[in-house]
Amino acid sequence: MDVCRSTAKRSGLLALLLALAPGAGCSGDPATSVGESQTGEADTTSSSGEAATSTGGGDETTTGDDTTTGAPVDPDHPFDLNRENIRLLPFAVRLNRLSLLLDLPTTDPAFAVMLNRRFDLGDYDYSEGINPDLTWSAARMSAWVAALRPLCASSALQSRYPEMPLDLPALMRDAWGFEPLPVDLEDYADLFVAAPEDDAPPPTPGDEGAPIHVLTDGERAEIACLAVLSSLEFVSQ
Amino acid sequence: MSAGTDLDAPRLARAGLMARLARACFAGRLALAGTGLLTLGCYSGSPLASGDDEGTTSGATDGSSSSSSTSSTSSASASTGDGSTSEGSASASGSSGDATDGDTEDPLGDTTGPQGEDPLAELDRYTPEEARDYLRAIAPMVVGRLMSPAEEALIEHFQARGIVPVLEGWVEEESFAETARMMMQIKLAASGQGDEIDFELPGNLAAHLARKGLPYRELITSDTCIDGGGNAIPCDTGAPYTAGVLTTRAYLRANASRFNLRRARRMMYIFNCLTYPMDTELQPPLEKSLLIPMFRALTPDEQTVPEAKNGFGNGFACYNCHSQFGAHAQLFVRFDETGLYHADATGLQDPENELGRSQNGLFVSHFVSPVAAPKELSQVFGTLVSTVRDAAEVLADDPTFYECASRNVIEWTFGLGEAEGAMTDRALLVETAARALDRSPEPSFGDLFVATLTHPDVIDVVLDNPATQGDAP
Repeated sequence: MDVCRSTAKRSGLLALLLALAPGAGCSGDPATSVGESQTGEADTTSSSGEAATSTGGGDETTTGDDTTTGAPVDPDHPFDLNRENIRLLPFAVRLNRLSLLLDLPTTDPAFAVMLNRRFDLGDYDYSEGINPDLTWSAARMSAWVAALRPLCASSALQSRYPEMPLDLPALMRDAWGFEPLPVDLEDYADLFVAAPEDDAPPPTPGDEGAPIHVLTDGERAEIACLAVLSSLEFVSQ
Repeated sequence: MSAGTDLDAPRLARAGLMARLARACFAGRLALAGTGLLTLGCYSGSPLASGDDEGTTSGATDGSSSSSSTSSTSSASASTGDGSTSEGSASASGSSGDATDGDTEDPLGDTTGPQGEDPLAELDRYTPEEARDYLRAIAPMVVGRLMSPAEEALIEHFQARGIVPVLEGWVEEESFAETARMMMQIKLAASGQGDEIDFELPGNLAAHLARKGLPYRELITSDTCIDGGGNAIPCDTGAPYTAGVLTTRAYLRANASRFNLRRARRMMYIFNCLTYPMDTELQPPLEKSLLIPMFRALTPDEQTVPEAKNGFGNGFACYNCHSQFGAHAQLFVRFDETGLYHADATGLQDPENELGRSQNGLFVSHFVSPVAAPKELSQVFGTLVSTVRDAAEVLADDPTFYECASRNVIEWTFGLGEAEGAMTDRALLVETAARALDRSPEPSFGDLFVATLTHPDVIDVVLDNPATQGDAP
């Protein structure tokens, strides 16, 4: 079992932390990179065909790129799911799931950041030479979280799940499609363990002597939302 | 499991599940008998109950609309489907997923099976929890969402037999058309809008076929292209014929390469999962004497063309593959590198250009004869063809076509790359293709998804159950 996957799978919060940690993340192995995981063929070129016409001529006289149907890698099954690697859902599917969760059309301004960064998030446009990329890299996690923030702050979400942590299981259930287990909620316990002080001062950058900032209710709710919607239960295949 | 809970029939009806539930219910009667589910689940009191009780009348009232949702498994439809499906799957009208049509059709019309046969029995090995896990796993890639409460309820009541009607419902939803679009966009590496070329045309056609329940084979045999609004339009190459996505500039440009090798190779790979060299029984090789000299070589010593000898291609054994490649590449000899059709193509090498390039952005034929080189006459799988359109019909008629389509469904649904998908056991693909053909003589995208994703061997992979290959009928 891939450690990164198993850890992240259990914890949306951990996934979020991984996303925010520079250089961290679950990039999977090279086999999950875009061209191979979705278009598959080793010789995939840009849609314009220029690569094929300008550089591909030589290798086009060989025939070894396509793979014939053969024996399955896993002798127990007729094909192999390759469970060790994380594969994101296609961007359009993730977008649709968010739209359904929030009951908001994707034309709503809350989706603007997400749509503007669609290619950072793995969407494709072959006419521009952009292939789909379904790897869950640190950069993509970070972009995903940034794109989620307007959605988590939206009135649509807050009206549906106004009371955190009371509504957290409902958010998880609606987002993931199944009732969360106690273990799924464990990581969130610490987040909501202490009520924020109303008069807690904000942190002062660079002032190491400043009091520790205590998260407000709104901040806790946002973190929980980001974590749930960044979890592999929500974003991965 | 809440066996005592009654189904909310109006809610299910609104969700478009009623008719499918009734079919599943009927098909599953034998297995449900004695379990208690028969009495609670088969819509006693609903408008469908009487029809259920009346049994096995064929679907005279909905013959044309039932083809994409004919009975759940291959064996069930085998004996009865022929008559009613002869008008084809093309007009499967039930794309709305709305139950109103289901309420008016004979829900049992297409569930007739061989006497005593219970086609859904193969699904009884799975618990409702397993069925739900499976459907939850595949729902996002098939229909872009989670399972609905109505679908969860269906599994609760019909256990794993509910997998079939749930999938049949999914492929009638509008979002399934978008699934087909994405699947083919990625497979064909064509999407978006270029300056001159509409790279959306292949995806539009795929979505249209899925939405309307039209035959999957029309991907390469359709006489028209489809615009963004779903309307039929002429394709954009200027050719005097049309062969679905194969005659879109999107496909032709994305796969342009010298000697038209990539166009030929991707066509054979995407739609028939074949690579070169192929079985010569399937694709008889061209005579050596027909080919330009560089493709005649079987050994380095036989290579007489300096450019080929000095690193062009693999320099030897050219004939093994190009004796077959040549026949398929010839079909594209009149399409230039941007996908435009040139009736005046020569197929001959431009002496001022690199190997494999003809004049006017065209590519060189494999044929040495200046008479044969510019023509689109060729042979595919031993059948003489005169255009890409003819070739597409041959490809679609070959058994590998639906096996390959099934493999494409597996690749898409489970996020496999082509290299991973290529390792799929052929025996499974043969079975799923046969099931799709049992659903309709010209299976739609929906038929292919349902036939493939309801196969126990596929379900077992997802559930990580031990192999049961060969167990399924």
